[in-house]
Amino acid sequence: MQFILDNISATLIFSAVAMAVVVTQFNSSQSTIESTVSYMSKKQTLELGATLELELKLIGQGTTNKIDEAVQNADGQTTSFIFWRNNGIEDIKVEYRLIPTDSIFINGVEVQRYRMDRFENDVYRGGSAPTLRDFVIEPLDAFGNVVAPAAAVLVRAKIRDTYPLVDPDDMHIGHSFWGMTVRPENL
Amino acid sequence: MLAFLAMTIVMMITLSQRRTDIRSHESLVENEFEIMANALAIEQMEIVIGSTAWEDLENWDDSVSTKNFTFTGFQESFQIGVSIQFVDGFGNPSIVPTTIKEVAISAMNDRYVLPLVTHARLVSE
Repeated sequence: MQFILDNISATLIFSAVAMAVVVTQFNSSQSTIESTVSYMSKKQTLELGATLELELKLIGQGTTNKIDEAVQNADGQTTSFIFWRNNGIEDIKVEYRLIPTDSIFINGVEVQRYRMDRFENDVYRGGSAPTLRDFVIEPLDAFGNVVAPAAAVLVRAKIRDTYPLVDPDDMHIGHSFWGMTVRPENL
Repeated sequence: MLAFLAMTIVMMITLSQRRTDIRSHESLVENEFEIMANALAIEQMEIVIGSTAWEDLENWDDSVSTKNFTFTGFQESFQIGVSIQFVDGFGNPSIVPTTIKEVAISAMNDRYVLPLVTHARLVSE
């Protein structure tokens, strides 16, 4: 104690320097974590998007069946999107089904998260990570208006993913986006 | 004097680190805006090409419209610009009419001075 009081100026300056270093290091760590997690989220969002883009272009290929249904819930999420394609051997009914997973708080608002399960002829065949916040697939006419599946010429898909592993509320952004509009040859 | 020097160095390091963090954050945000702009530009491209006969594509030239990237409780607006021009067989702009038109679509957002994305597609007669 005596030593500290004898060197009060040096102690105060050391405390200030040490605090500045700790705060800088903490901010740097947070920034690194956010960059890493956002990269993970973006990667999984883009991979899901690329898969959707490839498959949506195949709607109606090799079959007379096209889009059976595009069902949305009250929040505008596509809870079920059913369409047909052919794998060269038989017609396949593909369904994207949105399943609620958990809820988290982002900016003080409780947000429901989902995962998208993919089915072929009602058999589970993969899907998305359980961190989707929004999943929307809409049939459009040639002018970009949302229409009934039977009248679709274009298909628009949009995704908003929340960051995995960490609480998005601690992050600056907390989401990664993806969107695409495709024109399936057979619509 | 040494203490003052130590404080100065620490403050410089802190400010430098903060600037780096801000740039990193701005880069993340811009990436997300580019993704949204890309989605809307491609949608507009499909609408322009799919809803318009080749000879009428000029009607879209210099048009600017506002399109929104939306989810429930979320909306971001972008200005979508369309330009149409004739190009020759090598894709170079042509003053005289040819049988190929280039449809170029740019998406801008108020936060950024330059277009976030520009897509171009050639359409034959």
